[in-house]
Amino acid sequence: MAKSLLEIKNLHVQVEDTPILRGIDLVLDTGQIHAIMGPNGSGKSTLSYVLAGRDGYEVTKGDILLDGESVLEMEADERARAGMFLAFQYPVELPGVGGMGFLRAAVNAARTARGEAEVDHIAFAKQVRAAAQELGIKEDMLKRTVNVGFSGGEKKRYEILQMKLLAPRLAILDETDSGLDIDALRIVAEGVNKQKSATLGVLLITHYQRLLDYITPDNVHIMVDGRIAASGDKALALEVEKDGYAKYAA
Amino acid sequence: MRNMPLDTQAPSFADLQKAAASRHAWPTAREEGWQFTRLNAIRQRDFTPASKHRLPNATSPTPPKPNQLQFINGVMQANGKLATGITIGDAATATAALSLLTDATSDGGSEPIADFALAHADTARVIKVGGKVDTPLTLSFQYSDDELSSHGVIVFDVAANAGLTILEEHTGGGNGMTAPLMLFRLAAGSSITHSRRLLEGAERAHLGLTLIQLADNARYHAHSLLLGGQLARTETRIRMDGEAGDALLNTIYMARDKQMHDITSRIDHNAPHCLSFQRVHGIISGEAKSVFQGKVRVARGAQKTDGNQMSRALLLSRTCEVSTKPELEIYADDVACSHGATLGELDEGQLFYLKSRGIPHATARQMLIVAFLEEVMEAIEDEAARAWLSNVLDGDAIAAWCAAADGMGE
Repeated sequence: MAKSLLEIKNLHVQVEDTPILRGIDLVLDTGQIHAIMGPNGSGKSTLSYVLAGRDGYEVTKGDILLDGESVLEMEADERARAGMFLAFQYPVELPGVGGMGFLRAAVNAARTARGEAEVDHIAFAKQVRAAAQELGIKEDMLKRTVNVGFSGGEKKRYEILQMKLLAPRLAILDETDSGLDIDALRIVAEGVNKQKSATLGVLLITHYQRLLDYITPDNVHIMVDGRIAASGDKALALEVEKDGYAKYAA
Repeated sequence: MRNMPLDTQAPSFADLQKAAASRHAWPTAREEGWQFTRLNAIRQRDFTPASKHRLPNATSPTPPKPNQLQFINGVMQANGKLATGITIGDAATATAALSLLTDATSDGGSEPIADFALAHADTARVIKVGGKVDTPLTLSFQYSDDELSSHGVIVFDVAANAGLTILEEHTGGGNGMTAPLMLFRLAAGSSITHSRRLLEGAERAHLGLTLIQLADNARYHAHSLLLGGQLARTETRIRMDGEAGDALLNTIYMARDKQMHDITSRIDHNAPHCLSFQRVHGIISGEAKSVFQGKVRVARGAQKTDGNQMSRALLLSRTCEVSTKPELEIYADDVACSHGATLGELDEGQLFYLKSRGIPHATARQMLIVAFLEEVMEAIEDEAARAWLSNVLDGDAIAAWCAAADGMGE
């Protein structure tokens, strides 16, 4: 049997002795898009951080498998180089870190790990500009320091630009729709849809259904109180939008 | 440092040295400005003054480049061809300026570093800057001797509207000590950009003292990089005696293992409409220590003074120690003065963001350190000065520094 891209098995996570995730199970295959919806405080962002390997989140039970291999012992950068990408809900400002150098460092880290030569500066700059243009990112934004002075929408587009350049196999989009107006939402969604392919699996974490008007998920999971309370297809998202999360509460 | 012409009748340099030698005593921790930096190891040593005994039989390893002055173990060598506008005077002219040193201390006390430098120097020199000089002047100090203590004693006499960029570098090994003493007298409208790289080996001590006097509209911008030395201290005293003077003290220090870096300054705003800005950014690791003590004094009548100090330190270990002591003393009522200090570790959120993009921990850390230093670097207007300092602060240099710091600390 082929191994799934991502398999989350009975995952329990606590932060400073407070249990946040209480047994998450999820299987995501390459080529699929799964949406996780849930109210604030349900543990959605914790799940994204724990998958990406942020310090401070203690896995007390269960496992996370990428291509059938546990990633729990891997640092965040190793997971990224193994093909994971997290688009942040709140992209972090890096004053003094030049945008182009940052993008190059990220791409080169993956290339070096694969035993490939580093990118050619000029060719890479050209590639970045082309990708940025598709996402409606202004050229002067590329010259600024990372995320500093970017609007909410610009930050989210910049996340998708990074995703495009890094070409991950598993993308976790954490509330990428929050803080976006309709136009920005459409551009970001188009960016994700363009990258949708047989080689990419997407985990879409969202509070509202509206992103799903633009990106069609194969599966929808409702997360409440650190557990998956229900799973279904796109219809489930519409149902939640209408009726709210209350009926799933424990 | 009264505004006296340099050719005034003055005692001889020998007289001056004798007086300095009899006055000199190393400061104790009770003295102002010396609470954090202890000189116990130096106090016990017996250095040989170059003036009394042998001059080092050193010839410069490389012939001097144009507009470069070489100092081997503190003794000046034959210099390269100097740019138009720069002339070097002898000890007699320097003496006139140096004899006014005692006035530089407002409390009239002895000046331990100045006295030591004077007592041990082979001679003193005046460098006259007569006009705007386009080529930077390089002062290259190289050390190899442990016992011989000789120090550059240099008076910069900068004419009205003249300008010069100085690139001062200290390199060399052993466990010797150096105490360069520099005086700047900046006439109206003149401008000096003074860049320094302290790159001595990890056993050496550097106790530098720089005294600056600014006339109307004069400008002194210093950009210092402290990397080397077991002990490295730059003490800067600026007297803003003319209106609309402009003083900038930018400092980067990187201390690891058991290094001690000390940035001490005192700025006297004695005239209205002057601007002073001090910015200190430090990276500190291992069991290293650092201190920034900066005093800004605004005299009565020095209205519209703008005096700011900002110090930031990035702590890479739990065993390092940072002391900050900003002081404001204000006797005028229409001024804008501020000071601020922050210290902290690398931001966990920023590190995670970089690592989540596949960038290894060591590279991510190095990128954040470069970014932290970038704020100081980009404030350097003078391109030659900025490029010269960046040469030893690029990504590779930072990576090597971090690797060495990790090797020592863990």
